[in-house]
Amino acid sequence: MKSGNVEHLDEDQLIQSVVDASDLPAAVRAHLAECGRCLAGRNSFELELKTLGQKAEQFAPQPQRRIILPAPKTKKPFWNLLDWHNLVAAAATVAAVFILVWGTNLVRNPSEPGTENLTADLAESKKLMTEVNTLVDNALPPFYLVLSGEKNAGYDEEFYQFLIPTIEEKT
Amino acid sequence: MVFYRIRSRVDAEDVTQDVFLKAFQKISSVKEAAKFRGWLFSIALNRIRDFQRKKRFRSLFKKEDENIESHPIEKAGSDQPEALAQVMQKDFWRQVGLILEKLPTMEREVFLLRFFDHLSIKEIAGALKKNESTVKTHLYRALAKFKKEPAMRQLLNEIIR
Repeated sequence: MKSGNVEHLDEDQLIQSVVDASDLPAAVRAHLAECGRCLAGRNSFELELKTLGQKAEQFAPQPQRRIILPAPKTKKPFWNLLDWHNLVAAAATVAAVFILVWGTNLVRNPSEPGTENLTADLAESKKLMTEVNTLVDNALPPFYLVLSGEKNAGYDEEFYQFLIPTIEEKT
Repeated sequence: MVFYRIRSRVDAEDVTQDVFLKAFQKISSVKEAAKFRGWLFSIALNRIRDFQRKKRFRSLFKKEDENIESHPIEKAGSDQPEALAQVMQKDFWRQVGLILEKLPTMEREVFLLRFFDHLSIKEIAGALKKNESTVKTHLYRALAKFKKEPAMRQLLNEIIR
């Protein structure tokens, strides 16, 4: 479309100018800046679209509920542990462990052997060791010792000489 | 912004709450203040998409959702002064719905972001994670329909008159 020597913007160029005028060729842009008719056509179309947007805003209902965001969490986990709930829980746990350990010891102590018991055990052990040593010297029980005559045997050197004479005397 | 796409105040408030909660949780990921708007809108668009997907899924199992906006005029009472405003509001959104459903999804989204939400081309590209020339192409196609198709022009004129 021409007006004298000047070529007016066609419909596509008008639309393009609404989308982004900077994409139009420089000559078309220059014409748009100067030509009242083209500018009016562009502005009219743009106004229609803007009016549509404004009406949408006008007819959109106002929000009736407030937006509630969660409270921000601190990024220091160690300090979170110092919360009084945690401190009370930790103290209770320590107390429970202490009572458990202490109480267990209290119950177990009376059943443990005392000094008297140890002395008695020692005496018993000594007695047992004496018996063992006696058996090492002579394993026969006392009854058999009487039968064998060993209990009251008073053998002297002469008796042994009689049983086992020396070799010199035989020859 | 959420209401433009959901068109139910109660649902829009729920989704908006979700959007700000998500934004609050992920605010540290925004490195440039200039990108904040586009970033917030991208969260909103994702939430809206999730909501619409869930709504479609629910609609498979039950009849049309009956939200509070289903009977706003009856609730307000026809003798009250806001009854007329409610009728106009309902009519406006019905007509906007008719216009928008004539546009393909991407063109509709770009159009809404540009003229309803007043985002720049750069912000729209950020929100939709597309490059600027793609956004401009979709916007151009949408506007061409408004400009050239008589039915669309008529609807537009009816709405803004």
